[in-house]
Amino acid sequence: MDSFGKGFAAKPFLFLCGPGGPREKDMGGFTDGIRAALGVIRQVNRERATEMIEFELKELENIFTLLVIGGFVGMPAPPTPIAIELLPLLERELSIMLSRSDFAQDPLGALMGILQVD
Amino acid sequence: MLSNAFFLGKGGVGKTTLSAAFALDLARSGKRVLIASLDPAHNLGDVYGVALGDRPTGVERGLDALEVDLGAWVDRYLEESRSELKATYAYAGTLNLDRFFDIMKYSPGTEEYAVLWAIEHIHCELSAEYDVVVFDTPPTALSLRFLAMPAISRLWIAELSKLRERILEKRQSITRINPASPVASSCVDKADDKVYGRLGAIRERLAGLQGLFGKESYVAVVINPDQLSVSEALRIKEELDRIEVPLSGLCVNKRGVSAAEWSLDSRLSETPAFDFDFLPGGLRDREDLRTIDCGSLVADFMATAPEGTL
Repeated sequence: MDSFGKGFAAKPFLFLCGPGGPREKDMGGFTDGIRAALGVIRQVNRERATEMIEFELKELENIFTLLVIGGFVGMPAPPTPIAIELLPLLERELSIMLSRSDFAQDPLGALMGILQVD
Repeated sequence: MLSNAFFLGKGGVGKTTLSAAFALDLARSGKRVLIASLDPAHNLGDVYGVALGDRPTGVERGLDALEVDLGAWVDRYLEESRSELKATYAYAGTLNLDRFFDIMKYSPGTEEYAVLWAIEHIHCELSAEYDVVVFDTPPTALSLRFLAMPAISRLWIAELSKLRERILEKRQSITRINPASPVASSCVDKADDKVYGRLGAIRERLAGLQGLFGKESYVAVVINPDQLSVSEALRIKEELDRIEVPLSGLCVNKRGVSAAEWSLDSRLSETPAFDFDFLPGGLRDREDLRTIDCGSLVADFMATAPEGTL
């Protein structure tokens, strides 16, 4: 009897939530959604955590490029052979330098934006 | 014993004569000697009475000489630079725009680099066959610029390397925290970073040249018994101190040429000085060089050990 009763009670649950059951499909979708949402939150937090470091990195790369090829715009520069030897390897740094020139008028504004200072 | 000797000094003081006599004396004492003239206005061949070119030519047993063709080295250096830029901007070739890089041949400051690469070539490719390489240098201004070039360039490389290390550290931090960041696709390790690798290669090359000037060379300044050349020698010493190249000897040439008052500055008194008398008859052939007594200079050169071996 006990075993009959247990079996009787367990069957609908197994039917609904067991492997292949409609509830299980709903639950799977729900947990996937939660997981995706948590993933998005985690990624947003990661992005926010590295935002400031990335800003600093771009500035460092910008300075590096300016130091190496500053002679082209009239800045004191290393001896020309050093600049010429490094030039072919500075594709990324050159594009960063050009992109930094976009907000050259308001670099503090960009920094304050990252720091969320209104 | 050191493996190189440089003779510096004001134009016309007798650098070529003394370096030629010094090299001859060393060769006749049994050393294998190469003497190289770096002066764009060569007259080493005239002093030895032998036609010299850009490759070692036998002067006599144990002594070879060459006159560096600075024009060819300038062309070679500029050709390398042009090729590098043309390779970087290869697409410009499709529109026939790459010819505009040819203007680089008129770049200022190329002569000292040409001298530097010529010295490097002699040191790396030729010096193994000789016990001593003697360099007869151009007048002071150009000589000091090429001697200073490795030290100045190394300062730049040191600062750029430090900055690059910081960039790589930042990239590593970002990649660790946020592997999905676009930064993660760039180089984060020193070993993989081509820019850092190239900086290291330049650093090694410059260290070799600076070591050659500062540790493996006997640097002598030639002066005449007059205040003008003493003042120039003082400026040379100050510049050499600044780039950490020790001044090994002072050659007072043409002693007795005039009765004018002169004195050595006290700042030069610590440097060993060697006197060479004025030759009233001048130099007519190689044998006249034997009348120049280089014994004490050669002895001091032989007794000077490379830095760090004492």
